[in-house]
Amino acid sequence: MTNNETIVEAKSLSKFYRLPKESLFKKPEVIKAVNDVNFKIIKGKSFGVVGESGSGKSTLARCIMGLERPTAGEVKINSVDIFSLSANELRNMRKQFQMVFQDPFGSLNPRKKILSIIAEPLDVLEKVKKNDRRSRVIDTLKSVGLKETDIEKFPHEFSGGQRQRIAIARALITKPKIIVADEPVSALDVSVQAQVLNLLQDLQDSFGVTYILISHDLAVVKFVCDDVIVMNEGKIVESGSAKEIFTNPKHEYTKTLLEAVPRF
Amino acid sequence: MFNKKNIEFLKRAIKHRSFIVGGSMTLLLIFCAFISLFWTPWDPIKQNLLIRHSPPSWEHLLGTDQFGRDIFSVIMAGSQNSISVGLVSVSIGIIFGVSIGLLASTKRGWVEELIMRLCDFMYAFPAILLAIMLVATIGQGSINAMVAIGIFSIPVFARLTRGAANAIWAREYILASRSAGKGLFRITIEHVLPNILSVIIVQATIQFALAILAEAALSFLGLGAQPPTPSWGRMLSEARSMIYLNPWLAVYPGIAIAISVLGLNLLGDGLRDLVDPRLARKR
Amino acid sequence: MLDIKNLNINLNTVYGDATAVRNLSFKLEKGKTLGIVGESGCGKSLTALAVMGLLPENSWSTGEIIFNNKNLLSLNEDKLCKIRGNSIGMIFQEPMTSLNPLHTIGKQIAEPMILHGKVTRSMIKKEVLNLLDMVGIPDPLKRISSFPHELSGGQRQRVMIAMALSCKPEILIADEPTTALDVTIQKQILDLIKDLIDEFGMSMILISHDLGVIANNVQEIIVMYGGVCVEKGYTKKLINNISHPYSQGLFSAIPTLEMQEDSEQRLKTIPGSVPEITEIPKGCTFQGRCEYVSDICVKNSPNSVKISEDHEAYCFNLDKLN
Repeated sequence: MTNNETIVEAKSLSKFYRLPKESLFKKPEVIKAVNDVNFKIIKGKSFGVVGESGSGKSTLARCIMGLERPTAGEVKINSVDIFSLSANELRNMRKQFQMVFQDPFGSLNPRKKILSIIAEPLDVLEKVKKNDRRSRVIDTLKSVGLKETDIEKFPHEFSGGQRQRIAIARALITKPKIIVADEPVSALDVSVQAQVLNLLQDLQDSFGVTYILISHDLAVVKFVCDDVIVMNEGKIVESGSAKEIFTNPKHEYTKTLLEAVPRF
Repeated sequence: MFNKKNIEFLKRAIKHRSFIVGGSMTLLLIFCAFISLFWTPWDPIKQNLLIRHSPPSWEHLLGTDQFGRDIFSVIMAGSQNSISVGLVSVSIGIIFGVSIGLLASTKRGWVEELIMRLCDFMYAFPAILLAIMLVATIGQGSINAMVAIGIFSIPVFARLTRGAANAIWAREYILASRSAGKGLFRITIEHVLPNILSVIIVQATIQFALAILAEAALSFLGLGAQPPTPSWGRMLSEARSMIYLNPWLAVYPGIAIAISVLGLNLLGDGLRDLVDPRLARKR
Repeated sequence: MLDIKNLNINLNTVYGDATAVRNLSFKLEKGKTLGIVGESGCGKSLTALAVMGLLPENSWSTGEIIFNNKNLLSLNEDKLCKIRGNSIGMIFQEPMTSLNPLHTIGKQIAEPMILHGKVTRSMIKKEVLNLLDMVGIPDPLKRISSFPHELSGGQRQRVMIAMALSCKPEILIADEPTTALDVTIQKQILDLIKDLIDEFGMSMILISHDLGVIANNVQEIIVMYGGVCVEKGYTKKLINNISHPYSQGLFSAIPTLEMQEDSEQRLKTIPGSVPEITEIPKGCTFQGRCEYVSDICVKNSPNSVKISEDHEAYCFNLDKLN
């Protein structure tokens, strides 16, 4: 893990949205959600994306996940541009990168049992036997701190923190190299946030995954991440090691952001 | 599946007044239709001109009509017609409407636009007028009436499905499923459809009631079930000429229609409350 | 000025009856600020609603809420209406849904003043412009005829503040006023609230799940868990000597910017999760997650233990802790 191998790279990545026309004769307004973004992520490290609402950080996450096609630029995973792949090739590639979402209530289908929720990526991406499938789900479930018996339950039987563990288990089951986590703790109670953050760190130690953590919470990013980019209005305003950025911010915006965090 | 959630549901269902009342009325209708398949007090088709217009008696519970047929038997047999019209037309509406709605919400873009504008176009005509036009083109008869009523309920289901499905597509678990690599078709079948099923079922009961009404109207106009098939709508139309001589002839099928439609509507309302307690009005 | 004695709030939920707030007592003096901090379901928002007389229909409350020598819980709706918005103002969490999208913001700010007869017709516009200017909305003359959707989240919250302050209330209740906002905007709004409180000499109850927000903006803190107060005290004293096991867990579970850079470091956690409102245990509400739990915690509710002047905690095992 010490070699500085690049695992994800974004090259002049841009995503523009066109707003609906206000009048027939005006040109439609364009929102530059992500505007010419470049970065490299090193294998086994945690990469933080910090920004306020409207900074384009969630759009960036969706582009990296291949859920949205960028207007321009490339996302390279292991030196392969994912948008040059066919649908099938991209699907095979997905084993390597998975996502954890913000809202643990919205991200689990309320009508499915935990077994089939967690096994979903497995069902699509790998052909596994029924017994294997079950035992892999149980193993993953245990690694996020839940019980074997939980696989027969439904999402509503769990608390927010437990649901987020389930979502993390779903992302882990294909043994991905990269996990994109979009605000993974911001919907959780304060006392539960710490459990999930610790879990994320433990999992990194045992599986060597690379995290891309998207968050508005500077302290959370500082706790988890090694490298950080700060985004504002679609652009990167500052990038560097977490230590450097949080102790010695260069850009005005980063400074304002840091000053605004309430301390006690 | 008798898990906690389902028991909870049953408990609430038993307490829900309009669900119980509507449900029993609907069950009565189905029961009538089922019994009449094997047995009616008298043959509902056989005419007996000797006992025309006889008043209610123990022999003929609701009396007889102008051809001497036992009204109670005709009404029982007529429920078969109403139910089959409801079943067939609602099935047509669901099969086509739901598929079209799902297609629109899966594909988005111009496909959605086109489908929805077509639905708007169909909405622009009053439903019964549309059915009359259709029957006029494809010819009269029971089956054609069912098809015509089915066709006019397609846009209802299509719109409903698209709206409900769009809401589901915006959920994060769909995004999670997409990032797991699932295709749009599988997501639709595995995630979207099960989550909108309840809404469709509720609409189906209400659409069923509308179909019974529409069929009665078509038969009244002579465009639906042809004689001698017993049909409530045709009973009404036959009673029209006798309205001063024997007004009860019109009242009985009227009550039968009212009970079925009211029952189905109450059932639909009840289901809607039970399926989504947040929408329930305060009682 | 505001004196809450043994407030109990019961809720009638689908899953059965539940006591959402238990035996809560506190005082708020004129010109002072008080913060209630706690996680979801701890009863902090219900307490605020009880003071406003706006509890949901499926609930009932006992105890006393004394405001200017009147028990608010025994007043009828008419009398409450005279107090609401007039002597007690409230700011809600979600500035989009708490403004009516169909009315201009000028009209909405004017409404409470007209309702409580604070201004004459001819003065209304001037007053509204004053208020908009005071809460820092640029170009008030133009904004007075804007609709809520034309404003940003931060500006909407400023409008809410202008509404709450329009009648110069004696108490301002702010329920998670900045939770829906970005950090930079949050700071602006909190600073604004602080300035205005000082200017008018109002009292404030600030409610938040965010310890940082509470600790920076109020003079006295109440920590709530499972519907009861577990610790309360003057901000400085409490922060410097956090005593209840729950407050300790809560404070150390949060990553802070001051933490040292160290990849091996872990956060302290509170095991388990916040209990559902129907599953709050008898006795100490924190027993299920507390590492110091003993038999007595299950049997009895802890009484207040004085830690220092103006600082108390509700726990049987305080001596074991320190």
